[in-house]
Amino acid sequence: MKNPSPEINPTMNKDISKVILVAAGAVLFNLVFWNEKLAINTVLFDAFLLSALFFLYPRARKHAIVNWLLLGHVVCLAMVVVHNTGLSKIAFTITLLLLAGFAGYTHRSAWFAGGSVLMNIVMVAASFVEPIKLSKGQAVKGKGFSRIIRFALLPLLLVIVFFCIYRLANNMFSEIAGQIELQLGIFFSHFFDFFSWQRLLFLLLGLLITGSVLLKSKLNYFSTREARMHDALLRCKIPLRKKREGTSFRFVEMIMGKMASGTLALKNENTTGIISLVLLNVLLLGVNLIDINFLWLNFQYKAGEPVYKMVHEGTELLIVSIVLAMAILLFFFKGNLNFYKRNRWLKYGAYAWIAQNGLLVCSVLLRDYYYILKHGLAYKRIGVLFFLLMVLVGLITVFLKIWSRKTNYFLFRVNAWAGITVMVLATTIHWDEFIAGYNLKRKDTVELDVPFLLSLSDKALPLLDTNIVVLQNLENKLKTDAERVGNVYGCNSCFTGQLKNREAEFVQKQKQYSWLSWNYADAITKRYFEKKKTIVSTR
Amino acid sequence: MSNNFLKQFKLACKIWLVAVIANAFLAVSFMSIINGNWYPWQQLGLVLLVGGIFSIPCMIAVLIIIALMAKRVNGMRLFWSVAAGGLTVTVMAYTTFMNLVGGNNRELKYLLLAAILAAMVSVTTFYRSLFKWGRDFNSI
Repeated sequence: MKNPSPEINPTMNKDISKVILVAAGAVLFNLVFWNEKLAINTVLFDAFLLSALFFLYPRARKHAIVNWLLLGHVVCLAMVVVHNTGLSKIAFTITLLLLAGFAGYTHRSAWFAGGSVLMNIVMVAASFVEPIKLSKGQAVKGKGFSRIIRFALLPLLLVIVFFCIYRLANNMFSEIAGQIELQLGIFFSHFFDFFSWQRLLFLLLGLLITGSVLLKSKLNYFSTREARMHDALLRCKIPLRKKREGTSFRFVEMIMGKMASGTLALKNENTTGIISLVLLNVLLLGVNLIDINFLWLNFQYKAGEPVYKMVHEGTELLIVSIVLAMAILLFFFKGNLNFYKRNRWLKYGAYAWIAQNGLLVCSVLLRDYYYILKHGLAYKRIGVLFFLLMVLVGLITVFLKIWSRKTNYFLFRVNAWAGITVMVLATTIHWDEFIAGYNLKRKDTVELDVPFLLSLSDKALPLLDTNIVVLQNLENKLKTDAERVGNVYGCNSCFTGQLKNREAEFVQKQKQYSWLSWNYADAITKRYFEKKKTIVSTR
Repeated sequence: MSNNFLKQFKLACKIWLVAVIANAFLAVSFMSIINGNWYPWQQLGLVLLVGGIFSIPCMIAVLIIIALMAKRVNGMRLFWSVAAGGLTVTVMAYTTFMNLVGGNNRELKYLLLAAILAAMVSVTTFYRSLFKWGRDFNSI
């Protein structure tokens, strides 16, 4: 005798549980983030997402990469609650998405994991609908939703017709029915107030975010591609016909003609590489010597020339130089030239080129330092410091690639991890508060850019408020200067007034949030103003 | 008319239908949020009708791409070709609609976002069916 109960398919069950988890995640997203900012509510949502993620992909926790990334993600989450900066929120999102990529698929590189997450996002609708479709297809025939509708249709029609007849015939029945209708109307009006279109779209956004994290796309394009990648460069013989299909070879052949494809092709390539690197090194040496003379040894602020011009020019030069350096070295060390016996001088040329670029990094660092010394800290000046750090990592990895014969895959993989580490570490500092503190501390030596200081986030407000005398003095100075020249003094420089407005805005904003938007940075600022009796306690 | 073409036609129609419904829902949602004068349920029918008419070229484009590339290229390539082709014709259909309406309203630009999202949702929903028309279906 056959077993009447259908067989339980574990894959199908898991698919259904995925859909249920995504739906629950979307509802939770709607409840904790509606009209709130990312703060303590993020912990609730993230706890749910991570639990669901590791429930669906239990093997992921065994991978070291996932555990390290999880640590970075938790740091970012903590910083969202503590500092609540834009950077911490961005880093939190990036690490969460990468964690989903590494948990769902087999990856080593953040680039490929990012690609898989992108695929998850694009395919989220299909990933959500598919398990429902499959479970429907495997359901026992005759128990479908359509069958229920067919059974209910005729009785429902009969009930409606007779309801209308009785209502017309019986006044008492009509009155009771009217009362019920009224109550139902009130209920539905409240129901649709709650489920507004905005709320519905927000729910969809929740579905998209939760689905992108939890639902693994069936297309394993990026993990299949990465499975073919290796860190160590292998020597391989490629037939000329296949070589000609590549763009880089066709480019070389266009320049070098027959020398690119003969028996001495590798030797010719080596010679061209040495000549190019010698010339480039000489050129960069000239630039570096000028920098050492004028910037390192004999630097003086020029009276007419603004310092920002010098920094911007230096940084642009560095970007071009680094990109070129990377591209040139990757081009020469892309294939079998790494294994060529007489490539010693080519390698020396490459190392010198890397070292000179390192020197250029130091020159730009000095430029930035002089700029900060004169004008104080700002976002872009700090950004340049991080950029230089990443450039240094890039140069070291290029050196490692040539030294130990590594692939471009290795280069990009290591650099991506370095980028993620720097980003996570950068979230641990509240940069706005740091900038305000640094600049105000050096108010006697640094030219204060007060409009910029006033544009910093709320956490900097207490610091500005304690230095209100400095702002007042600057305001008075500008007023006196304007009056002396004969200009009408506008209120663009009413710094104290602007600060008071910012404080009032902060207090107003805080009133709109519930406990879900609690974060340490806002709490500290709020407490400061409460102490100053700016906020009248409701207690 | 071959049996294969009929199947392809059915698939293109399915993609088009899902796109039209998704577009109507998203467009009405966006517009009701941006413009308070919009009454979602009343305008849903109108958006469905207009969206349906203006997106017929998209359906034809999708059908042509499937018919031309089916069994010739692999499934992944066919999928991305339909996605790219569908999105391109969606943008063209939106531009035609805007020119006919004569609207240069900033709010109406959200309709393009709705159309693009709807096109993406519908193509990705039917990715399995599109893969079946690829040359490599039996090998994956």
